[in-house]
Amino acid sequence: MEDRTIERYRKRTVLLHWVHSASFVVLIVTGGVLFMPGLGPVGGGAIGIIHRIAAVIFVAVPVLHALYDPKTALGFVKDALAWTKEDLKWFLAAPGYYFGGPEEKMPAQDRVNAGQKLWELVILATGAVFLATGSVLWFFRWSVPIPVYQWTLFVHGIAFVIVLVMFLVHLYLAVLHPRFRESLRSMLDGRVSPSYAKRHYRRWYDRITGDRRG
Amino acid sequence: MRILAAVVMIICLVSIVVISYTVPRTRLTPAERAQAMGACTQCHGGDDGGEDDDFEGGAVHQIHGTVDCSTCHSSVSGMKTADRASKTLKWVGIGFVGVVVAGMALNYAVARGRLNGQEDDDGRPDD
Repeated sequence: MEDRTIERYRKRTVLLHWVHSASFVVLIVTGGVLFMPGLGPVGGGAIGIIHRIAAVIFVAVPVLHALYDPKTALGFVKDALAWTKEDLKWFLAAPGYYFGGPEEKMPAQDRVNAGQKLWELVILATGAVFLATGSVLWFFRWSVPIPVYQWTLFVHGIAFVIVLVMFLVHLYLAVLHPRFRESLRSMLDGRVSPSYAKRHYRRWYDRITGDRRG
Repeated sequence: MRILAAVVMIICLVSIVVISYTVPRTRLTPAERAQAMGACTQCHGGDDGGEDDDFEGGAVHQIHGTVDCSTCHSSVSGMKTADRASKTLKWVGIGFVGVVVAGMALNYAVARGRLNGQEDDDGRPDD
């Protein structure tokens, strides 16, 4: 590990990530119980209540953070929505790179690479779907027509499958993939080595260090 | 700012409680709901449950237990379609997750093999 490190995430962001992650994992686990064939009745009791409590935390924490630090929250949304041709090139080159291919073919990325943008976009999009459909399932379950309830449950399930798959990929890359050893550590102390920043986020590295040599 | 955060949190919690108790429940009265909760066991499980018990409807069956079965399970209704769609989604979802997990396992094996011995990003050799 190099002595000099670069701040990638502020401590508040790290805390937000882990609190949000904890609620997310509870939602995934309890949602999985509710979703799995044959386990439906289990969800009628404590599992359903835990799922709802975690859902409140999952929504409230980022909302509170956005109120506290709107600039960062807006930056997160902008990152997720700002797509360029470079991102497309990144996706085309990524399979080879992630299977251990040469990194020279990867386009230089800013602070958030295209894969992370996709994950952020999925979090935002499915979060909105979960909020809307979850509200119907929770608060309006007795008042909406039966088909509406059933189809709402179906849409909730689609969002669950999408976010579960993306979450597993996110977890795998952060914890296991040999090319991203510093990823998890950076979410613990918020810092990465200059070489890691240079390899994975070259444009961001050049910007914060003033290196314009390319 | 802490006070603001506390206020927002309280507003969220109060809103949830208020909404929970004020949203009109036009479909079932409390008595009907109690009946509905017990209705599932008449068809599913119990001491003398039938052979083809189907619990997959879960909460939907509990909530709408007083509704005539044909409302949900007639062969031509939209509800039947939704019922089938949900069950299909579950198995498609499980299959999808399985494929992705298998893909990650393959990726790990290949990437680890190809990168073996190379310097890691933090300067340590790959283990």
